[in-house]
Amino acid sequence: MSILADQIRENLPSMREVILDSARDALRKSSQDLARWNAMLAAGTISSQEYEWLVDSRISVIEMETLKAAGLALARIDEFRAAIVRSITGAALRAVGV
Amino acid sequence: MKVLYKTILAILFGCAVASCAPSIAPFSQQAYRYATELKVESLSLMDRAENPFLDHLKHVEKLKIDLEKAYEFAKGRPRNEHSTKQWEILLDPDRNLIGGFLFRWESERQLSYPFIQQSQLLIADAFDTVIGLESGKIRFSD
Repeated sequence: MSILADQIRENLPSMREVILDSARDALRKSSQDLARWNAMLAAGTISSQEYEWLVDSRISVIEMETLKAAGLALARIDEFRAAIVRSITGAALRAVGV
Repeated sequence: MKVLYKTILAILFGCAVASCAPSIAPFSQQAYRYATELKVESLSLMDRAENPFLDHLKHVEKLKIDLEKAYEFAKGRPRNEHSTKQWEILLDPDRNLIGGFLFRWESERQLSYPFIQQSQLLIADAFDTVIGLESGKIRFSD
């Protein structure tokens, strides 16, 4: 049981961090992009149509980042599951003296 | 007796956990290669979008075919829905990543350098999410 508890303590925070880091990163990049594009639009470097296109493009990237975070969380679950099996198998073998 | 009982219970639990199918496809070197190479090819071709589209038609067609290959490869792998959806968004001509960029280039014949530069940053980020997801998947030893 303590082995299981250790596995949960080790793995669950890392899954949470993957998702949170991804969200923080997406917000930071989006605000930097918007500031830059606003300046470019004001200077006439890009058109309003190009500005809208870039905003939609950033939204698409955010969607892809969300898919990445969700996929990585599933990969961590698989690793966690494999670690449980290894721990239990090891403990069981030790218990029967192998 | 109590130890034996607990051991058997633990083994049964382990078997139950082990019998669950994996949640996501494992790492694929081929998928990783597709994503990294197509990132470079896409950004390189985007550099030419200041020039008339028809001058680069062959390169555009080749890139589209290569992108489709990567998408079909992703789609064909079991438990690979997240990566497949990423490729769909990337390739969709109605959206605003590489598929949409090539469509815009064709529609407008040539694009402005500042717009190309900003699009390259976004499309590079998009490819990085595909690469990041693939490289984060579980690797099985050969």
